[in-house]
Amino acid sequence: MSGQEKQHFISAAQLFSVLFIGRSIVLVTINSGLGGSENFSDLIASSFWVFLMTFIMAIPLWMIARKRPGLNIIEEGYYVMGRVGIIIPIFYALYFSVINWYYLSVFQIFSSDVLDPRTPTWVIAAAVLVVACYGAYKGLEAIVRAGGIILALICAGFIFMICSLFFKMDPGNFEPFSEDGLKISFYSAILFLCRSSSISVIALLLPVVKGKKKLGFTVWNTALWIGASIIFLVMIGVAGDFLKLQTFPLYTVTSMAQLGPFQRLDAVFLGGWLTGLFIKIAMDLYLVSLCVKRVLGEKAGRISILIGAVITGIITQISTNSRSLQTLFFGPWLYFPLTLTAAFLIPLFLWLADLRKDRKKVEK
Amino acid sequence: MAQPNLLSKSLLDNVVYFKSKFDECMDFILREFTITGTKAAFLAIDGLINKQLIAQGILNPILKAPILDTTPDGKFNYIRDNALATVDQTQIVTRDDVIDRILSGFVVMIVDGCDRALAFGVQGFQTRSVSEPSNEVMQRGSREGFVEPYLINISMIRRRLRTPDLKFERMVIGSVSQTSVAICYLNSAVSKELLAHVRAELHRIDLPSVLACGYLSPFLENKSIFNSVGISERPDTVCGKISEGRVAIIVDGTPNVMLVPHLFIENFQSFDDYATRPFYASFTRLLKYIAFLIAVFLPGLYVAVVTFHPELLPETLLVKIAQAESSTPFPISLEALVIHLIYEIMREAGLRVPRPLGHAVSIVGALVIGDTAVSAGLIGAPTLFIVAMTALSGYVTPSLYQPIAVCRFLFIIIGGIAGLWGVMLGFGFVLVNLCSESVYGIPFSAPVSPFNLRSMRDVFIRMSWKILGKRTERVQDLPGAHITKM
Repeated sequence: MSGQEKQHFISAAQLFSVLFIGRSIVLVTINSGLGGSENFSDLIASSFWVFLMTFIMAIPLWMIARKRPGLNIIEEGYYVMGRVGIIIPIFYALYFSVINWYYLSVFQIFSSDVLDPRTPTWVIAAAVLVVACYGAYKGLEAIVRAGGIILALICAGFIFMICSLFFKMDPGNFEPFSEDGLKISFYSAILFLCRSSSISVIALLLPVVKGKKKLGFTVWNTALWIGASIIFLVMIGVAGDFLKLQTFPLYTVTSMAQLGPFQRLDAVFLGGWLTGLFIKIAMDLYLVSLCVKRVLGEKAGRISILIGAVITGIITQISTNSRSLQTLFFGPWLYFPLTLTAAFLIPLFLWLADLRKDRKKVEK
Repeated sequence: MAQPNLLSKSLLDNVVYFKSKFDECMDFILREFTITGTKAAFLAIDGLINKQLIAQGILNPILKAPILDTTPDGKFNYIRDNALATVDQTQIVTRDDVIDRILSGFVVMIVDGCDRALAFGVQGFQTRSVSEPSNEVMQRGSREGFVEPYLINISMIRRRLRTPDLKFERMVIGSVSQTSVAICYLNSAVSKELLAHVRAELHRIDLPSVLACGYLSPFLENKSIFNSVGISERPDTVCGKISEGRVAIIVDGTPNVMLVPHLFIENFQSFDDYATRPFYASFTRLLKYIAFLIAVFLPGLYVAVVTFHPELLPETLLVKIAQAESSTPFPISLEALVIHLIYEIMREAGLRVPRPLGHAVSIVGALVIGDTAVSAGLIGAPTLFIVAMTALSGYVTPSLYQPIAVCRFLFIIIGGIAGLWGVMLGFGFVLVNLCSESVYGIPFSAPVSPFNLRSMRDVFIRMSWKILGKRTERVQDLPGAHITKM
């Protein structure tokens, strides 16, 4: 039956499937503003930077995982800092809540600006949060299992889309790489990475992951690089300069897709985005609950899912009408320091502190 | 612990006790007789026993036997060991056992001066003969289906798996009905943890009566909207399942056998798949998955697309739909809801109506709903076509009909309110519900998620027996299973 009181594990493939979805969600919303460059060819170069920087950013985390494989970043914080370690779960709970604001606000802007449905956008956002809450309540296994199926559907849709757009590509649309210098592509990479919480997710979940984690990480990162490069190539090939004017260029490109009797394949894009979005938000809400649970206990952890969802809903609703909030969410100033701290600085600090603690023990 | 209600040495005491217990039971039989000067009695229930067999196989031999022993115990032992030719014969010592036996169709002999009794298996009640199961019709394979008496069902399974490894454990559930339930498993294949869990769940059941499988299944299933307890009317299907490490639960008085754990993908497997050639079995397997998706999502998607996103439809199709819908008075979501409601009412009526009236239901359905409603301009022909497609698709996976029917209504409502977004989120909700549950420690969505490549040989496609036969995949070997392998 369902209520088995056992420590449940997930496989490395399951974890990286969900992380793949998380990064795909960032990828599908990229535009010249969010990407930091008007020239989409720069984004191809930036995907390579993302690939390299992800490896570099993960190094402190891997060092901790190697040293203490049974502890996640929260437990490592308590181990190294004692009671002061409470700041680690609090920080990560806030971080995962804040990162959700970005994902949902982009989606709300899309549904209000591009689709303009008759249903109010807040209803759709609320529905996304309700389903995400349900997923978070059901737990990690439910999210990763559903994520596995959704990833398969997204991949099928991606292949279908690429096949249908391939014949619409025009070589004349391509511009030279790094025409404006490498700096732009590097900036784009940072913008992309700062909206991705993947390494922080790994930091919290690594002890419950079984299987070939290093291989999984490498495959995941490489697949993202190749996938992103293909998407950017196809986008440029199909629409060229037209993309610069679009708020959601990938959506525009998919609505041009046609394969035999199949037209207007933007429904495939929408399906992939929406299902991926709720998996991403569900995972982040689950991680919020994990952090709160560590500080305030089981019951508070469960309640925090609902509270996190409500706050996310309110903030994103405000952001759709607030220019200043949108500037904050879609620029690097909020998410870059947060993601850098969550994914790199905290693991680095804990690793160094752990080493120091060990050295002191040896000296004693 | 309660003291056992032991038989008395006095026949009179025993007779008075059983007479009081079966007071005003017109089918209770008490036949007193004498064995070389010692009083004895037969107790039985009329209608459950074969009287001819009692007369010829028990009463005659006893009365004619040269019983020389003078003590009641000696006479009892002589009868037990020498006099009778019956196969099914048990010695019992408690009054509760006597009652249990006679209610199960045994005849019980008690002898004055003996605090023991002999129970003879001479069941002779009328049963339905073994026939083809009506709910699991197969093109190839056995035509035998389970019947109501569980002992016959056990024999049907035993005949197919001729190994002492096949075990049957009996238990009684229902404080009033005292229904016999048998747990059946293959000892070498089943996980002991799974078995212990099933036993514990069944022992926990505290119901006054158990008259069908449905009484027990809520105690065995999870919280998913999809059924996690399999039901089969076919012995060959049950044998196949228990060979994979599952546990079968046979309930006396019902021709359905329950199987646990039952995974989601099993709803798309049928015994016919294994009796036909792999390429065709794979084709029908894929067809079932497509039909399931159509049955659940098509009406909701149709309502969502036509109402909110008509730009997604090809132009010619859009024009046809617009033409048909322009003459109807209701919004498309209400139209779809009403037709589905009417269809469900007709289906329910078709199931319950006496057979001679069945044609009337068909005529009303086909003519009134199908023809008149469209020609009167009440509903659009495209909507009717969608309903018909959906209804047909729902029958491809009959075991999923209940969740399909409910989800269909929900998706029409969601599609009518929130369009494609709503349908997609509804899909997400159903997916999480499906993936979140485990049945006895095995993920309900396995082996699709968590994924297992080896198991894929019998999920979306059905590989040849040359490959399937190399290794039987047991349920506890599936990825993500949290139960012991053996």
